Amino acid sequence: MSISLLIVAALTGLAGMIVWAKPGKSVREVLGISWKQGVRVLPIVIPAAFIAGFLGELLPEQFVSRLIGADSGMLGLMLAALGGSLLPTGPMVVLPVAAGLLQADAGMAQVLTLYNAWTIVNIQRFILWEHPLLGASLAARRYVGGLICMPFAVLTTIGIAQLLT
Amino acid sequence: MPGGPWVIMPLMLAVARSGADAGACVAFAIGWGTIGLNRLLVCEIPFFGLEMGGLRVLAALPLPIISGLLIRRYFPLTEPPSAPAAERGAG
Repeated sequence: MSISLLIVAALTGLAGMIVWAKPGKSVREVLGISWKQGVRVLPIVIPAAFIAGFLGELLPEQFVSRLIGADSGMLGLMLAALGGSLLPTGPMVVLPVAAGLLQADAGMAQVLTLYNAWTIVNIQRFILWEHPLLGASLAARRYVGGLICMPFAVLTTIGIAQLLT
Repeated sequence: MPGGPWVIMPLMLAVARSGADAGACVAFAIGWGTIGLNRLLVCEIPFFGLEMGGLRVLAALPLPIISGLLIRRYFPLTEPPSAPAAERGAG
């Protein structure tokens, strides 16, 4: 059993006990909401788990290694950041893709940079969510804030890769 | 904070309209993206492993603060944000 599963299970149990102990709160209602969420999310999560394995096998290792391998240098990091900013998907696709790239010989710093760019400066999120929901002035500041911290994010990924490899 | 952008962005707009400065709002949104506990537990650790996922989040801890401080210093909001397109369309 993985640590994340243990932590999530413990948090769920704790939240359940709090709801059960509080007067006026319905465990049945919570279960109903959770069931609806599960039915919506599970069909995405299960195939997503297979993406990493398939990608690891399908992606040509030499090509991936040359493009964003551990020795691809600053160009590889920039390509990874560009890829992360352009990926038009949610976490359940990005993470398996990142794990698949790791299996296909991509560098750890490059994969983490791709993921960080996806979390910080993703263009699809800006167009679909941030600009319509925040308005131009606030959305632009959020995006510029992301661009500002990308170089720091890249430096941290290089540090992590050096620490772990 | 758990939730997708459809939860976080309206919340960010609400606190900005209530007087929060742009730096704090940006730090909030960047923090949600980079160091979200929910995503770490549910998505990152299962795919990256505890070491890589945990270190990524630890290393990303300063990012919201850096971006928030720089936005506060160089791009402050001079007036509360105007109604976004989605809101204007709704009513």
